[in-house]
Amino acid sequence: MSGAPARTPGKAAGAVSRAYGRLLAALALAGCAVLFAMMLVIVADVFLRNVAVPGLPRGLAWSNEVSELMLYFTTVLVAPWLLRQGQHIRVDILLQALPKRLAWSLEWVGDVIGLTCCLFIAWYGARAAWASYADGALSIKTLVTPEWWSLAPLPIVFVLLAIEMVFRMQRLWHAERGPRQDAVSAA
Amino acid sequence: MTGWVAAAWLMLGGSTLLLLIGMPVALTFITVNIIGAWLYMGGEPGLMQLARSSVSSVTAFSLTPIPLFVLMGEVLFHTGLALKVIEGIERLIRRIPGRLAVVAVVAGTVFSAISGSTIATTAMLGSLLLPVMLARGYHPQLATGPIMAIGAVDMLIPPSALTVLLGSLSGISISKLLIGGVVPGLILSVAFVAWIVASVKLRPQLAPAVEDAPTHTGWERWRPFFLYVLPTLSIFGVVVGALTLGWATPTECAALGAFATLVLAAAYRALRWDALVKALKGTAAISGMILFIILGATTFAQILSFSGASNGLVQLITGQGWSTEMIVAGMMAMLIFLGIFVDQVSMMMITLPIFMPIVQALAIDPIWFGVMFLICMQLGLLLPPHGLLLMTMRGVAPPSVTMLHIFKAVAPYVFMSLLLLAAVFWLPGIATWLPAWMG
Amino acid sequence: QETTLRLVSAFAENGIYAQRLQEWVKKVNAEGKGVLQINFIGGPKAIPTFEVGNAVKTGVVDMAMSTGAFYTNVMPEADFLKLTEVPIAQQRKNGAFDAINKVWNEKANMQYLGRMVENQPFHIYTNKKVDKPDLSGQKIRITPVYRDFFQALGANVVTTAPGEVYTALERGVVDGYGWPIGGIFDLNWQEKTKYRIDPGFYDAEVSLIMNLPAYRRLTPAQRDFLNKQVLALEAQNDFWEKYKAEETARQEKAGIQAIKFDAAASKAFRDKAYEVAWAGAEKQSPEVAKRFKPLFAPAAK
Ligand code: NA
Ligand code: NA
Repeated sequence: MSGAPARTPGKAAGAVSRAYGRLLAALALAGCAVLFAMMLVIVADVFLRNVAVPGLPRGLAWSNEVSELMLYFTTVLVAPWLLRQGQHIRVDILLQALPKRLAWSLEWVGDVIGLTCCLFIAWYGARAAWASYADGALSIKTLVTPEWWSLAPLPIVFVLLAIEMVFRMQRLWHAERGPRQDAVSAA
Repeated sequence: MTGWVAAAWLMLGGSTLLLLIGMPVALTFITVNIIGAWLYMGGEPGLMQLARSSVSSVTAFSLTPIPLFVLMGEVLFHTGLALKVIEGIERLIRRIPGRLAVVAVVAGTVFSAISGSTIATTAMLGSLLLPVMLARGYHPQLATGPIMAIGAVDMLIPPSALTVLLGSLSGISISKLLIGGVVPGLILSVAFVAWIVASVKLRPQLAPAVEDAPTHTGWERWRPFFLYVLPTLSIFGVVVGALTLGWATPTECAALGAFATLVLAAAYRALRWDALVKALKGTAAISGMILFIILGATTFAQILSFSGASNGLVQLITGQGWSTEMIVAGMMAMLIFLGIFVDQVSMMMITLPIFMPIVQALAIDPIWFGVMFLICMQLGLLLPPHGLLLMTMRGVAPPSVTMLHIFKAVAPYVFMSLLLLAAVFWLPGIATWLPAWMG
Repeated sequence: QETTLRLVSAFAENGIYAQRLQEWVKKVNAEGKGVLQINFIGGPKAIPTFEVGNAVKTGVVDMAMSTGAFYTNVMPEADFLKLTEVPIAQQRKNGAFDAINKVWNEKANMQYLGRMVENQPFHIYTNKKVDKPDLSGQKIRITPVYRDFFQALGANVVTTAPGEVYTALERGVVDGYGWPIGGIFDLNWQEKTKYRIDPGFYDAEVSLIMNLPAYRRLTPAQRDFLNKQVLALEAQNDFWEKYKAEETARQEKAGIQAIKFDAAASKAFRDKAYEVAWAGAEKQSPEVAKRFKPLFAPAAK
């Protein structure tokens, strides 16, 4: 490859980044567990609705609202890990067509905008969660839960995403001058 | 420039620009949302509303089948059950030109009925069947083409994660869409087999001249079919049965299907801990990307609507005096064009806020429209330069298979899919008959 | 001086509620030139149904048409409005309207402008015949509005998305559901429904709410104009009495049989519905529930 050679990151910075990567992987694994539990909750609801088991209720009336919450938790638990893996899909048709050095510069533009965007959502998501907490807002369904329980994970995850964005930029700095090889689709 | 025109330029133009510089799709939408919420939803309260609406976009029971359908395919793949199914089918198919390519299409159709993930199906066939085909002297074009093509068909045949997403975002009945994909999917499978046979007859050099086809007879020939293929297909039976007997709603059936797949894998003693974790991780990755885009992009559609841009565009398009057929054809052309460079989830996110009000305003049959939408997305999976399944194939194929092989290999199947799209356009019954018959 | 208010609907745009709302907006805009204009932004496609309350509270929109059950996350008291047993005109006279507004002002930063749907009782629709008010052994699809009541009647409650109720009824995933007297034809549920249990209970409330600071920013002339228009809208609420009769007849024609109890059982059924709901209300917000209860109750004869 042409262009400036890749630079090796400092030892300490590399260690911090790897440790953070392990944290994100652990969160993703937790996301997998939540996903599995979501399946079990729905199956249990269907089973109990159709088969009378002495001592157990006829169906879990809260299964829909709990499983949709679990879907949301899975989404946010996995998101920062996907960013680390370069698996948040994107369009790279232009980047692949442009001169490598220019593509590399555009990666920077995207990262800076992405970082800003994560910080914005973290801040306003936190304020939305805080306002809900301060008002004592409740989510009143079959189960009554404080509304901030579902609002708070969003800003936390966007803080994690913002931190990963910084590591992502660090990796870009040390990488070859060219576009990244991130995922481009999912189905 | 009136208000909505500026909003349309900002939201649609801005997101296109950010997409092109390679920002992750989800962050692209969120960035434009932040600007849109600030401008059109009253500054800071609008931004807080944006965060709240993002949470509610994925806290949706109707979306739970997305990871569950993907999980079914991943379990099949990582537990090795897929290999047994391929073996079972392989023993049955003998003395047909391009035998293993036909096996790939048949096995792929069987997988499609159990897997809700096109990637899983393509990866299964690509990693299990492709090396065998190449070793036996199949031309790379004949070896890779059918696998990618049938992988894309997975999206049409239920279960399908993308169909669930299309239904959920468009408001078209999810179960009818799932059923609506069956006939077009099967038509493609049959067409693929016919094409393989015909092309090998015309160009015998594509496949090995003499093939040591399995010579099992009697029970030995049928054993793996009854032992593996039928039980695996019974998962489909569990899902349909639970629905027909009134045990579960269509959405809940996805959980039953995933659970049944795990139980079957356990029954074959194939559900080792590491296989389960791999399957769950694969599921989390694929569905995580889809769901995170939904988190960013649902709000995009809301702001587009809030700013008046959706209504403005819809009125602009419906007010031109174009015929309904022209508008539908135009929408399909736009989808195929988008499919060349945008992923399937973004295709839906960008177009549905505009397309669905048009569908309603012109009283277009939503099932017909939805199935054609699915075929366009399926095409997008196969279109060069970087349709998802071309990349997936690139990832699992040995280095001797070049990207040019892959492009050439997929071309006839892309053409067949286009023919199918035209057929559904002129004969809507292909898409609407089965859902209507099943109620 | 002219102001434009931004209005959203928590109900889908093609439904009867939003249609009547849009007719009203047209009239307001025609008569309010130079004073007040309303910009109808749209339905749940613009703001998700369960976020409409918060959007009004924080001023993301100025006005909304919603039912209280959609914004219990703003304050649990929102759902109490289904328990009114006197017409809105009466509520304005007996102090209920002011009492509601006091709570809406203080707890939700909202002005309660007026009620545009009345006389639309909820009913239990089922495919399993009953001869007394007892749902034991039946799987009934619920929303939070009547969950407590159905459980008190012994039902196994099930939650499903509105889009899946039809299939759920067809396949017997659920035996029945709760819904107002009007609207089941919009969803084609009549095809899979055999019985309706009479009498109805509660009142499907749909009201106009407004962000309080936005309301206070209006000039006296604008505020008078708005209130006059809301009163004119309320004056048309006898439409709903007619609509109820039409929908009842239409259900009968579609083959839905009414299950009726004797007078005593009917009264006990209705009393139980209100008793259960008020008990729930008193648990959630004792002080407000106590204030509302006598004002919502039918005047003694
Ligand atoms: Na359920
Ligand atoms: Na499939």
